[in-house]
Amino acid sequence: MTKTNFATSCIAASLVLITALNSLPTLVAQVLDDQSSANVIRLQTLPTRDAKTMPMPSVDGKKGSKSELSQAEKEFFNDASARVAARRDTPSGVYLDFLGDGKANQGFAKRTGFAFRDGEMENKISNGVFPVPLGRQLRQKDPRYRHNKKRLTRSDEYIYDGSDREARVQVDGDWNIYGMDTEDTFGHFDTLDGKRLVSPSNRVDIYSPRFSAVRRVDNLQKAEYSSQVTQMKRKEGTVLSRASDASSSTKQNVAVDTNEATLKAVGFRDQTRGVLSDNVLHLRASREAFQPYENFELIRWGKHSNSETARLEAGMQAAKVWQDNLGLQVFGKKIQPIIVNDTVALQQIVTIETDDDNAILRVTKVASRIAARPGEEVEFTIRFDNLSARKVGNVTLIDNLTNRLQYVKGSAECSLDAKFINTDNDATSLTLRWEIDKPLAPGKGGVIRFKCRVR
Amino acid sequence: MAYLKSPISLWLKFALLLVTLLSQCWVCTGDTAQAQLTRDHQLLNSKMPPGIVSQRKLMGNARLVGHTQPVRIIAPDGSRVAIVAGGGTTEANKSRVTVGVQAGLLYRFRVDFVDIETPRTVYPSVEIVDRLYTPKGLENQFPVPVVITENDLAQASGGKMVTKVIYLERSESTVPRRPIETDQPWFDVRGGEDPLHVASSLGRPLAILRIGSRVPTAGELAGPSAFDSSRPVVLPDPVERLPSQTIKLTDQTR
Repeated sequence: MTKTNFATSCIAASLVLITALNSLPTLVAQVLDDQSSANVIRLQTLPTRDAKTMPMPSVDGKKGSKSELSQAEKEFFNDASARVAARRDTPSGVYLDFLGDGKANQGFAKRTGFAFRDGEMENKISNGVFPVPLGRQLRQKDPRYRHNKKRLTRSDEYIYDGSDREARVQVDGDWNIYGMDTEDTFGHFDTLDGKRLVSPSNRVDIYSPRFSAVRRVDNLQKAEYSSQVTQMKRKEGTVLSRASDASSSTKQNVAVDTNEATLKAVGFRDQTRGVLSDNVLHLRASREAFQPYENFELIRWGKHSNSETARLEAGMQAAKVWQDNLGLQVFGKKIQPIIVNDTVALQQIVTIETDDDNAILRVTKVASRIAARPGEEVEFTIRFDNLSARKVGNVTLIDNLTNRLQYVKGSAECSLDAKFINTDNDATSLTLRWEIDKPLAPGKGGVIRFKCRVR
Repeated sequence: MAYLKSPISLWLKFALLLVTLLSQCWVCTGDTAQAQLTRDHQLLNSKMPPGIVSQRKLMGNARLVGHTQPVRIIAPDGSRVAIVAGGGTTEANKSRVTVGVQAGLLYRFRVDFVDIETPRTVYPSVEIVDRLYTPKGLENQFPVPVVITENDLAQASGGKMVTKVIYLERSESTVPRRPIETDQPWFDVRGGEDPLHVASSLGRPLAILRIGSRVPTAGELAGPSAFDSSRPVVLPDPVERLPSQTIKLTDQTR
């Protein structure tokens, strides 16, 4: 064997060995998967909606907006119910009881309490739930969607509330919630094909720095004796340092000699003479049902108008010093996201109708202030919409408040019939939970509002 | 087996020996390298002469150049705060004053107070070592609060030197407290610790306050740079905002 052939054979043998070692876990996983598949019942796709017998609900909700199911829909669900009932007898127990006898949640399982768990949820089919959070679904399809954690930078001067921070939120078949961190705001819901999905909201940034102090008290005589101040001054060489450092002169700030700002302010007060003093009163209330800060079409009607781009973006201006790419995004399934600071001249999104099985619950959150001092109150508004073509049930909205936000008792309200529950969380604050009573029809939505005091 | 005696087998043996030696060196030196990385070495400390820390920070942070940072000096009720600059002091009629200061410069104030029926005066100095990134237009509403407590004044008037580092807390690790402007939490560091270093471990240091008991002479105050101080910009006080009125939500959604 020549030297060249020997070297070539060594390299080839190494490559084969490395390839075998890399593929070994995959092969083992495949074998295990094949073995386990014998005891697992795979979900089957529900019958496709017939557009003629089951017309899609219109945008304004006139048709199909009632909570009762139409005759065609009942047949559609009964067909699926028979197959699910057959599966329910199996030992593994698949599927949610989405056509149970509950009247409040017609077509969906009953809520049986909830609990918060640490760690990640076990992804097993016996739970009857397939945890596929919306954010993850969308990230896999298009990296420009929100909830990309790499783009959500943080600053120590801000309070954040919203989005799905750190661990991914999951909800299993027993209503246990996994991976919920402080600041998380999300909604979870059940679909008619047996999925329980999680949909996080956007993140709200509120500028609210807080300060503390560290003190040291020195007795001058003792300090001078022990630390030898005289020698320290020589060693420090402050004068020489300034002289030798050429860059200090270029960056040195120059103290101001005059204070023109104060003079201008005094002159302005003299000109007004108190006649227009009523104009400086702050707005305390409005006659409309919506507050001034939430007077967006997105909050009112669930539609985004490009004319509101500047106002929507105002809340994000502050954080742009730290994060350049962050912006409020309005998006729908399989539709290119519209970033409000984009130059694309999209006029209006009326509605989104899809005919496949994917369900989307859009959760949008806004705050009444972009900055708040400790002790001041901030009002939050959450708008949630069912963007899918089918009803979603057991819609639950959860806001896990951070330690800087204290819920104002009695301030929570919801435009739909809902059960409000608040529990203590690890951050010495509260976890707010709204359980919407009735299923959410396609194109329908609701508004939640509550107050928090910054502390 | 003739190829085992070939030169390439020697190269393979040499490579194996080299890999073994390198791995052993890495294992042996790992702990030492780790210990060196965790050793704390601070270039700046609060024992430096007033203004030096701010100058060093200015040279290292381009965002401090030309930036005027609002600072609110908050003294106890009943005391009076004046600005020492330009060969004199401003009129002292309030216990709180809001000014705009810059990094690299030292600012000095005069605080008149009464210590057990004895009127006293101290000349605290303030230097900033970092800045805030407040949203545009709200800079004056969120100044850095430099709170001077009665205990600070009592210690200083008793002949001691008070060094206080005001730092920005991390929002995630804060504990709830009363939202009162004068109620700024503080604690004394242990012996041997530097407040600037302790503040850096807890958050982001923003300002250093020093209060001593020495009263400058008339000659020191008369110069253009009175007592080695610069003139700050006087800013209006932050506006107190009223709480909004709650309006019940009705079903306005479709």
